[in-house]
Amino acid sequence: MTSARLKRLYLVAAPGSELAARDSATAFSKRVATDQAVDTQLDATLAAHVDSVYRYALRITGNVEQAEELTQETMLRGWRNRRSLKDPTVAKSWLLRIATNLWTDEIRRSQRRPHQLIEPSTIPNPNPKSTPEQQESARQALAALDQLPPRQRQVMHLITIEQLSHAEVAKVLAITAAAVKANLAAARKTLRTQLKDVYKEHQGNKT
Amino acid sequence: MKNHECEQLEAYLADELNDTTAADFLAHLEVCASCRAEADQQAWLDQLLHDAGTITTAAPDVLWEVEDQISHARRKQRRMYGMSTLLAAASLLLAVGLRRDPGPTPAPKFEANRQSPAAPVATFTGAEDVIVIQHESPYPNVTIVQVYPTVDASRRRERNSERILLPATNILRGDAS
Repeated sequence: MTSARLKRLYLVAAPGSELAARDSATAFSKRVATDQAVDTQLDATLAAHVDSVYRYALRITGNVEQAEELTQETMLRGWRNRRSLKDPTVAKSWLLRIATNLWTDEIRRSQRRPHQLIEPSTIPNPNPKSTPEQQESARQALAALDQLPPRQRQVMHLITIEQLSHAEVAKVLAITAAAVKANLAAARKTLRTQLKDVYKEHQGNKT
Repeated sequence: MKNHECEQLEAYLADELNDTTAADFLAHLEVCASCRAEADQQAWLDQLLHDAGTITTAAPDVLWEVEDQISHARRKQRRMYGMSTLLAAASLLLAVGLRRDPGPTPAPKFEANRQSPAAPVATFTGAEDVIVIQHESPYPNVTIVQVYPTVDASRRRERNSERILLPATNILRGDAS
């Protein structure tokens, strides 16, 4: 997230100075001001993970519009329940857990198939500074990731892209650590097999 | 040809091997070209996915929408705080106003004088068990008293209750009718 974005969100989340100034004499308004100061800090903590939430949402929904809706709903739900977040260092996995739960509920409600693949247009253009070959490799790798079964895709995304630990992934997906390992191993094996040619090409370009 | 150590490749990639087993597997990687190639490919793939995956960011309007909704929720919350403050202030004013203007004097009625009890009208020093307080009575012919025990229940039970209470009831004089 850019600093400008963080600053903008910080301004939105700033304490209500009008109310605080008007009622500063009362203990009530002091409590309000304290609450808002805590809120502001938490909002900045949550806002720093908007992109992670969006990336994850895009990975599990496979659709830009749904990913945006899911991101908004997740951030709003996180903001509403921010008081239950005891440890700000786990804010990222906490938000991703909310996103997972919201999406699970959405699938249950609409009976939507969770196996939707990401639309080709939603796969981002890889780093423009990289070579065309590298960009093509990245595009193929992301496409292969999006073709994995949903659970393997989630585990692979959370570990490889969001760099969560196995324990964090287990919490986010509400599965056991053993299930995380099994899904990760399966996902890696599949991706290695599917991208063997791409890797060979990459090796050939290197030499 | 795959051997037993090759089967530990996934565990090694997941960083699940303990120090001793990891050292053994690293030694195996030196001699097993197949595992080495797989490990190298996985490292390349992980890096590739990480670099490509983290480029994606939420569109600015997604953030703006979240900000708008949070701002809206905040305004709502502040309005609720404001309403609560107003309500508290109104309650305070009402309470102060009511205390300043007590309204018409209520009609006299019988009520035990709990605020400042009158001086004891009788104390039974012989038994050392009760004192008797006189209360205001709406009936001129009736005197109302309240009998307070001065010893605890266990001691009182040991004594003859009739001997204690009879003198107190003698204080009640007159006729309510």
